[in-house]
Amino acid sequence: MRKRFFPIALVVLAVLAGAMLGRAATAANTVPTGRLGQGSQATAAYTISGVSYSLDVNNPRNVAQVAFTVSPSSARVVTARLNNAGSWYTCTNTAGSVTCATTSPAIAATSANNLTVVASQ
Amino acid sequence: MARRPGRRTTRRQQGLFWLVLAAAVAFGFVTTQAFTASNAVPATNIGQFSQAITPAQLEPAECITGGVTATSIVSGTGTVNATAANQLVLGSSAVDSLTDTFGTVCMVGGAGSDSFQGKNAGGDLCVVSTATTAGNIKKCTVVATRP
Repeated sequence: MRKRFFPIALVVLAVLAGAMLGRAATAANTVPTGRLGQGSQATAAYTISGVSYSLDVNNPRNVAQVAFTVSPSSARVVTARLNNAGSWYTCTNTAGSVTCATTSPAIAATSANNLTVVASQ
Repeated sequence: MARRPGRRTTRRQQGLFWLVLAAAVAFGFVTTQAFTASNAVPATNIGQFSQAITPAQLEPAECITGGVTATSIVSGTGTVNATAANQLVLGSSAVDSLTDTFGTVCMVGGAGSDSFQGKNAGGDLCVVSTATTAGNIKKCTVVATRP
């Protein structure tokens, strides 16, 4: 019984000694409080309605402006184009009433065939 | 019957093994729960909208109210002739001469002293400029003046 106990005790002592040595050699780091987590929420689309166009009063061959209503009205970035291969125009959203000047570059009324609006928060 | 001493020891070891395993799983679960918190994500909106543009949508509201719903557009500088009925005929900032021979078009001259020649007053509608003189508007009902 004693013969069997001795090697076990020796191993336990060795482990304890190693742990103490490791503890002494490993200084404590200062770790700031961190945050980590996961969450998800589905994104919803905007509703565009009441679309109207204005021709350039001086040169009616060109479209001067497109206006529409966006809902919800919280959209911060709204861009639009009047042709699938055309330029994007920056729009101004005032409480849901959006206007997009389409004068630079000018777009001909005959080229304005499809309205695309991209909106995001 | 002879006793089998090794069998009892093996069962005890198996029991200890499952106990340790369950404890390890429980420890891992609790640790994961402690480090994986739920974030609060607000509801957001993003999207793209696409819609075909019809000639009638580009037409001045006065022409729609006047009874002409455009189904096509013709535009130019100088001489601009309608090519079909129910058409939106667009001039430029220069002096233009707009003509219709079909009877139900909306002619928009733009800036400049333009001239308008319609087929019949009442059917043809004109948006003229302040520079356009009355003598240059023939067989066309003026529905708006701009610029």
